[in-house]
Amino acid sequence: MESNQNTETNMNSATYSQKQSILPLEITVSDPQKRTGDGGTSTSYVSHQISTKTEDPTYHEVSSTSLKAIIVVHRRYSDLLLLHDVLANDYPTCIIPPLPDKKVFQYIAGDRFSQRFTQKRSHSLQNFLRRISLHPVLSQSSILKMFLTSNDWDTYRKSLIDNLPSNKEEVTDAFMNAFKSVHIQSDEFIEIKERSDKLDHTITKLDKIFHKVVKKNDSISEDYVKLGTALEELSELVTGENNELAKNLKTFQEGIVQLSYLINDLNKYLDYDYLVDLKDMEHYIESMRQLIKLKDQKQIDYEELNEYLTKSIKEKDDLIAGYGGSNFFTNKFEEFAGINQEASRRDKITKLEERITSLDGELENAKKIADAFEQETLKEINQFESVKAKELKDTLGELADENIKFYEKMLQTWTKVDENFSSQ
Amino acid sequence: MNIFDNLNNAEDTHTDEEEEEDNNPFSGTNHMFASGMAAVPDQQNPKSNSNGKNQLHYIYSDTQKDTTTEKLMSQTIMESPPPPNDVETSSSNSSSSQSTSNLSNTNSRESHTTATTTQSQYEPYENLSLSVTLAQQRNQENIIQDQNDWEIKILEAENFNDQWGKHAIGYLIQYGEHEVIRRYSEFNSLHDLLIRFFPTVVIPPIPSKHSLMKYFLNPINAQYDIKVIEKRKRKFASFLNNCNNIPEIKSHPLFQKFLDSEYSWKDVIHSPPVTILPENNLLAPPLNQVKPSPLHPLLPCPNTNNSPTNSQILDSLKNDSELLSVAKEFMKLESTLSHYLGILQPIHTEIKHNKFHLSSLSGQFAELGAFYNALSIENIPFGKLSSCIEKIGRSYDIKYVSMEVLTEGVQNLLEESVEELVKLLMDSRRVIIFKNMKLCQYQIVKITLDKRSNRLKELTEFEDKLARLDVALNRDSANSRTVASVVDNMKRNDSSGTSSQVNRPETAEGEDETASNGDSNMEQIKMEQKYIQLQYQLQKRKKNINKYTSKLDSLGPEFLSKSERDLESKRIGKEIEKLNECFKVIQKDIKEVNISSMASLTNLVQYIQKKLDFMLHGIVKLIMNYNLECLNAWKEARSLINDM
Repeated sequence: MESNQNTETNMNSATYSQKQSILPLEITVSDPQKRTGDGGTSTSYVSHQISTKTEDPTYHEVSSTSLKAIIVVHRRYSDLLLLHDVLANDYPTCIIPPLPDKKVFQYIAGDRFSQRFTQKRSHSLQNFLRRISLHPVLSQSSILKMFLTSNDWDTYRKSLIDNLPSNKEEVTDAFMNAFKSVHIQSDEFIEIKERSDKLDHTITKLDKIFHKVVKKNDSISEDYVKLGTALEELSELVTGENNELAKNLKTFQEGIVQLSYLINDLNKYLDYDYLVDLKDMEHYIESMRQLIKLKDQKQIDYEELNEYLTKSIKEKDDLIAGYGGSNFFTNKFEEFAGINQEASRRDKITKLEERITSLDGELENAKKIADAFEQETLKEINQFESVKAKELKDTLGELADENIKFYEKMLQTWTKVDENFSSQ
Repeated sequence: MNIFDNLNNAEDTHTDEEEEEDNNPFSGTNHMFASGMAAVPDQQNPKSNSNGKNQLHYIYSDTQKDTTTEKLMSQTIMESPPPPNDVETSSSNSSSSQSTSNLSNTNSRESHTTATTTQSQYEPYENLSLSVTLAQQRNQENIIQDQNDWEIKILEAENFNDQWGKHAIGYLIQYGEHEVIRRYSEFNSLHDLLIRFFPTVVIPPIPSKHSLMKYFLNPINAQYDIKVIEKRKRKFASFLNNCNNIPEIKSHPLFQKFLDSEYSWKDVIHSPPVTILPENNLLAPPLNQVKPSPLHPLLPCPNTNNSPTNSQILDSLKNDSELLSVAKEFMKLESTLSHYLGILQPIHTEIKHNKFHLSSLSGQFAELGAFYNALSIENIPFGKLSSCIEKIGRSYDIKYVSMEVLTEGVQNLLEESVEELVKLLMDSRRVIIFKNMKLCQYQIVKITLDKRSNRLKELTEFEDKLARLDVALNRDSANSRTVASVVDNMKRNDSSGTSSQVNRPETAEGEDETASNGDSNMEQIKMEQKYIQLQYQLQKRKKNINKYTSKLDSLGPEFLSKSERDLESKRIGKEIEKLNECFKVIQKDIKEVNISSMASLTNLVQYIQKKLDFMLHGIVKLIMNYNLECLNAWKEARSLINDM
């Protein structure tokens, strides 16, 4: 019940801040660099450069730069993890965008400094920050501002990290209710669930296929490198004997090599960016589902309370009705025992009435909370949908751009090859 | 596309190709046919101006067919070896093919088939344009060729029951106005026979048999696998057209009969000329296997398993500058060809891998298309986003379709062509080995001939020397009793026939001692040296020349009695005559083989280069089309996203 109180206040603040006009944040995460630990620690870590561009004057107060200036800070993964945890703690009704996996395997394999890994993680972290920046509530949180601008983040973090409250309780709570389900689910949520399931399914499938595509592209590109070498040999063999063919072969070979480079470029985009986007989308959907579960939790709380109340009322009604002798044997027994039936019954009824009133109050409260949570969740889901739509639009646009780039360059390359052919 | 074009026709065919391109109904479109990749029906080919003539010609040749075979048979019988002991044969035979060709040239209007057969023998000469008169013949042939220049097409592959009721797949071949159904096994036997008929010509390959693996995986349907059949159709068409572009094969009755539905293939392969093919192609005229001269069976037949190495060839030919230069030219060609093979073989594997990768990639594109469409349907409540996603899905669909076309093109244009080239290059080894074996044959005859003449020379020289010695002895015996008694002794020895071998050296020594003449002494030493050399050579070559040597060979002339020497020189004289004839035959053979093989191999190199060029052009067009289609699709998707 305590946490419910907490949420309520936060909900209020959320609705409040939504009324303010939000100045957009443009966040870019780039340039992952391996750093050896400073301050006595010997472990290495990867530092990501985070650049923020915004016209929000409060962001520029710290370093007193002009509004056009780009604010640059360097953060490591654990910094972002902290940000995530703090936000999750502060805003339980919000879908906190997920962070990329810890990738324990990569740590063991010692691969976590490879370019492929850090680049992909950088991109994923950027997705995380961008999603926060698009969120009307989260984007206004002071810790985000601190994270994006402060040079004192390190000290801030150190003091925070030890005092972070654990959310163990919630976990057990959620676990206990894991097998309970909501009695009455609104159509709206049924639809949302179905939609998210479908989306998840499709995105997971796309993710899988793109993984295969990337692999195939790799081997195709390899094929062309080999083919290129063979063609070069062929061209050398023909030189002197049939110079025209030799030239054509050479031209073609250059085209093939170029093709292999272009495939690599496209593949890099698919692997480093698009696949990460898909994966992040899967995670985001998962986060949304978590929120829906939490909402269900609140509703279950309310429903259980409601049940208890109904029971109590029924009991009271029975007692009152028992006057008519429905509980004959009990009455008889009490009569023999010399208990004042009337007095004890009255007493019970008063007790029940008390309980009912208190339950009524709580029920009202729980109802309020559940309703409010549901409202919040719907809002969050809308937010999720809009972020999803924007991301889909952006990533598909990028995908199209990259493909256009690929095919334009291909066309350019092969037109050149063709021209060189026909010019003879 | 014309394959195996006559080099001399290169320009003509080029224009032909261009014209064909203009007539291509698909040119300018994105259709696969546009690049001339698939067999384009060219009924509107300008060459069909001569349509009427062709028809006439065909009707004519139809009626002639039966008589032609008869003629051919009678001809072969007529030309079959005259009595082998006839010494005159060699000279007449050396010109016999010439005369028959002249004969058949004059008869060519009557019997076109035989005429071209014999003419085609000279095709290789023309390619190297060695003689002017032959060039004239070429013109004549060109006319014939133009008239016959139909493209051979495989119209269909269909199930049919052959005359024994066996179920099989037949390939319907269309050649001019003829249509004939042939089975895979018939193609296979034609291919094998062509190899036997033309040891100096690189024979176009036919598709390989079904792999056992396929039977294993799919025992019932493997034979009827549509893809395999389509592939075979293409390859058979290519095989027939390639053959049709090799004048020797084109005009060969075997090939003609194959394209003629009036002949049952089973009958063809059980009648001449197939049945009279010699066992060993080295023992027959290289360009006309079925018309052996009486001398050909007499030629030595070296073991085909140890074909001489290049260094051995160079070594053996170091005294023959003309053949040496030809051999060097061959070696250059051979190394070029093996380089091609060395490069094309890995390319073939690479392309096969690539095709496999491309087709699985296109399958993935198809899946992507499907899932984007699903995503778009899920997002229908979001309006425009849904149509954007749908467009992306469409882009992938287009990507998939174009990729399929591209893969198909890679398969047809690259994989199959490169495979063909690889097979041709493999076959070129057969031609080279035959040429080398022929050279080996030539060497054996030449060495034997040299040895025989040396022996004869030796014998006559010895006879001369003896005569001189006689004169000297007789002169000296007048002055010396000892000498006189020796002379007497010798005469007795000679008349008593063969003396014991043990005595001989003594006699020789006696001669040596008595003949104090310094000159003859010197000669004796020289003789001795020669003898040793000869022995040495003999030991070296004994294996090869066994057939032509007698036991007497191993003995120096000084060990032989007068009568033996006479017998020997007579025998050797006869042998030399025979050998000379053989030598003439083999010399002619070598010349023919060299010219024909050279022409075929040079043609092959040219063909490879042409094919490569063709492939490059074709594949670039395919890639361009693929790019254009995909680019447009993506641009469309992008513009829709931008509108959002």
